Amino acid sequence: MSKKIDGLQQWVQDYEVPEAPENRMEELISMGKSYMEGPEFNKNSLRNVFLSQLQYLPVSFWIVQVGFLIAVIAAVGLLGHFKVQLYYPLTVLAITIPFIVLLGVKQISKSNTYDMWEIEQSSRCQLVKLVACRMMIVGLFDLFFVIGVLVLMSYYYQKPIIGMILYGIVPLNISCASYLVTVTKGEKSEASYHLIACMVCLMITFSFILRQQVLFETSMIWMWAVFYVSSIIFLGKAIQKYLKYEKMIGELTWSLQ
Amino acid sequence: MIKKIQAGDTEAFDTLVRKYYRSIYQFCYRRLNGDADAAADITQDVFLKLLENIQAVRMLGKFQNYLLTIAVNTCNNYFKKEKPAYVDLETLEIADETDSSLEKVIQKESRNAVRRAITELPDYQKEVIILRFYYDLKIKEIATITNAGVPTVKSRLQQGLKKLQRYLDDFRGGDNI
Repeated sequence: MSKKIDGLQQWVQDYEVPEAPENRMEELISMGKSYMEGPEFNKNSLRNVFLSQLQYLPVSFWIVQVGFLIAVIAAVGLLGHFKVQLYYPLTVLAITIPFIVLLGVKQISKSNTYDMWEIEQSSRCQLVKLVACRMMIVGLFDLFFVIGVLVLMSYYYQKPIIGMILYGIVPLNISCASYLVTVTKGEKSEASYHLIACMVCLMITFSFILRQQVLFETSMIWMWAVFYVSSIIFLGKAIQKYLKYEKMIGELTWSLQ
Repeated sequence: MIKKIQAGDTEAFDTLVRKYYRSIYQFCYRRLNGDADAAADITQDVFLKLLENIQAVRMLGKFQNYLLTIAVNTCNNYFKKEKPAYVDLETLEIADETDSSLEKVIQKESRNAVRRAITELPDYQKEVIILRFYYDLKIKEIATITNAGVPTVKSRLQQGLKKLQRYLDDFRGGDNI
């Protein structure tokens, strides 16, 4: 059999192809160069991927996010208007932050939790690039959301704006990092349950911590700055691990294909 | 090189085309039954498609295989739009009036026979045979390029080989007479 195949292989080599037309190759090179110098080139740039991912996030997600934003601003405004203790609006934030971050993380990790990466891979665009864009969109929205509420609180409670932002950003960073760690480490099939459990833990922890009046004294601002730096490092590590995990999935799919 | 092209380096594109043009042209020529004009058109489309999607190129395998994937799809699309042009194999032969030794005549006959054999194979068998014999690719690589399963590629290859073997036997039988 092998001898027969060898004979065949030798025979098919007799099918010679004439020389590739040099003029057509030069024509192609010149066409390609003018295309590269034109405005159509780089249509798949980071900016375009970013815009495509903006469209990827469902309208329902934005409706819920904006709904929450309005509800929280209304609640904080109302509490601030009646000058209730700072603890109460902070508790509203302590409950809201893990919830809105969870909504965002679910959108970001949709590709893994619902096995949609096979479809997304067919776009031949790196999954990790898509995920990073989604992360940036959702992260920026959450960041502006929390900062907006904190600025409002600092206005009502006449507290220094930097201190007030730290009180909100530290829980935000910790929430994001905890969810990413949960998605990376946990079982794919049980990711939703793990994320909800993580959200409940975060809500309870933040509510308890924010009850400690001593943490909000002016002298404690340095400690909050340390918390902030630590939370940024924690979040950076979590993002790095998560993107590595997504990249691994992307490469695994390519190998399987 | 891909990174350079992604960044807009036109010289990198020049180098890439000069490196792979011949190989892709040969694939198209054989796949399009020896239609040289169509092969040059399709080869041009392959490289332009590559440029259009250059930002999405992920280099995890051989670059030639990536180009061959585009070439396979472009050729298939070509056949969907246009009826395949069957080229008269005799007209493709370069006339060699001066040297008509027996060896040369046999070689010419063999060339015609193999062209005819490959041309007459069904398209899905033809692309597998071309990739296997002229590019020396593994079954798994052919499966990736043709977007088919490994068992499907194996079966297409076996069927194609059987047909080619029949042609070869006929050719040799004819020779012996």
